[in-house]
Amino acid sequence: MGDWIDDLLQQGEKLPGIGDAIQKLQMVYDIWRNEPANPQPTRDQANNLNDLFQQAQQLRDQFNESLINLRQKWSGNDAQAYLGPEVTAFEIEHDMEPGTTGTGYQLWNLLNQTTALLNYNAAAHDAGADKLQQIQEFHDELNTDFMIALGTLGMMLATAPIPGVDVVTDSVGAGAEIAEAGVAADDAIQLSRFMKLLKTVEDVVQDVTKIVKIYLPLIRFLAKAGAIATIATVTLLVLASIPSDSSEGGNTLQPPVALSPGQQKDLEQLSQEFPDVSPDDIAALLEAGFSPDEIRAILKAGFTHAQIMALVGRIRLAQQNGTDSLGLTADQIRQLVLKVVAALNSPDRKKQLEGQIARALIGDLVSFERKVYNANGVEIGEIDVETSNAIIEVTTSPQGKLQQLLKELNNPLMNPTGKQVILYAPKYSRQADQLFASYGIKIVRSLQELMDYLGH
Amino acid sequence: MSDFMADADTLDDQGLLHSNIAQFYRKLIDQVQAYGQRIVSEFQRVGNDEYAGEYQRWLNHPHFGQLQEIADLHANWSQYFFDLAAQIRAAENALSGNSSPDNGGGQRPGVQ
Repeated sequence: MGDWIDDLLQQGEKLPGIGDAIQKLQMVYDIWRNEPANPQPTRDQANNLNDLFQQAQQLRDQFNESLINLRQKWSGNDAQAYLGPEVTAFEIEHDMEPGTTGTGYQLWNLLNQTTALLNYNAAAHDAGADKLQQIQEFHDELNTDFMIALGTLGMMLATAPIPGVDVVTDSVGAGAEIAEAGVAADDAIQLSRFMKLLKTVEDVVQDVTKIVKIYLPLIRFLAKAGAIATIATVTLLVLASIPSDSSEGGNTLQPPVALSPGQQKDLEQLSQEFPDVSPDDIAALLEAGFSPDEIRAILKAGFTHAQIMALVGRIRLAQQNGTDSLGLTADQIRQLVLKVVAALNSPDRKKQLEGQIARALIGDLVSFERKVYNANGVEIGEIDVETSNAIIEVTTSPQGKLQQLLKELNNPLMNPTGKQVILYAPKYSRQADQLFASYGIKIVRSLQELMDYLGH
Repeated sequence: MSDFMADADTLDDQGLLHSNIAQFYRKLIDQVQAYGQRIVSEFQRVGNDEYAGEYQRWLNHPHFGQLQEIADLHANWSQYFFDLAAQIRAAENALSGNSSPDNGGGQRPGVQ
């Protein structure tokens, strides 16, 4: 249907005196031609979020009550860490919220935040569904007005050059005629008849009444189109926000680690050797399945608390689910970490640099120094550092990496999922940026720049 | 160091609550994603790529990964409380001379 309307509007632009109206009609057409979205899926999501909000509210209240009750029935070091400081009799009597420092409270607080966010997002989706419904209703109404406006235009174009035919004379019945013309215009064959009747636009007599007739439905039309334009998208809030100190593995909120008697001895020994490292970090590494010597290597390689927690979090997830969120088993993650540790403790400067990058990205690291082979088993290249969405080539040279990077970018064996390729090159000049960018390759020169670029 | 005291039934209740909360977070992720995909599909169907893209970005936001992490934390705490309750019962049984190795520490009602 669109082609003949475009043609009609194009022809109408040549009519003297109504160019402005035609332009507006064109704008309205752009809105009208797009089918509005059905509000039902958004309404269903709103109802879903509302149900979830009510469930969250119930669980949050139960959790609050349980934290108060638990204090009466459980004590000791773990209890203190979980429950935080004692609450007063007054607080218990008045059902006040639990203390703010225990792990239990922090988990309760996350649930409380989630509850509030579910409530907000349910309302936001409801508002969005209302607006989509409004758009749909406006669109249905506009359908009639738009056809009338088109019909008027069609009649103007068709009858103007024909002597003895004057649609203006029947001003009372004009609306019905125009509406009929609008329906007729829906048929492309009918329209072509109109178009054949049109001789030259120069023959069209200036007729104010005619212009008003095309304007009248347009004015109503534009008022509604304006209403559509004011309908803005609804802002949705993220549903979770874990405190920053626990975002890389949920460390501080984890239950205490249960170590075997042998691991307890290892923990004591390692804690003496590394007095600056938190015993909790060492215990977490032991529990994740690393041997004491491997832990020594990890700690000597300079892994921070956050990095240790990130890798331990991945191993725990893999132990529970078979793989972590990146698809690696617990054993694969341990091997990956040990490769990074070996690089960091290597005397080779480039390997150290690769290790530093991998260590910083440990929470999102998929592979490290991964050799790639073709079908015949011949090595075709090596990926230095690979994350869930990027391949990072590392160089300590000031030049000479473009060809290798293009291979990594384009070879389906090297980069089967088309991940972005980044060159980590502290010594590259700024002049190289443009050339590499033309191939879609980003050059970064520092760890901070890399982390910012990847959004870590 | 604080003196240790624990009631196995209360610890089991706490484990069950953590388990329910973990399940709730997982259900939240699954359902919001499932309903959300229908919204994206509807916007795509009518050719509104801008809204479809915007909503898809919301669905892809890392907050859903964080919710998964919170669910895992609750599952871990659930296991912790169940294990602790089982240890308490085993110790109580040992003290009372009852040789039954597990007095309620096995399969818990409502836990999946």
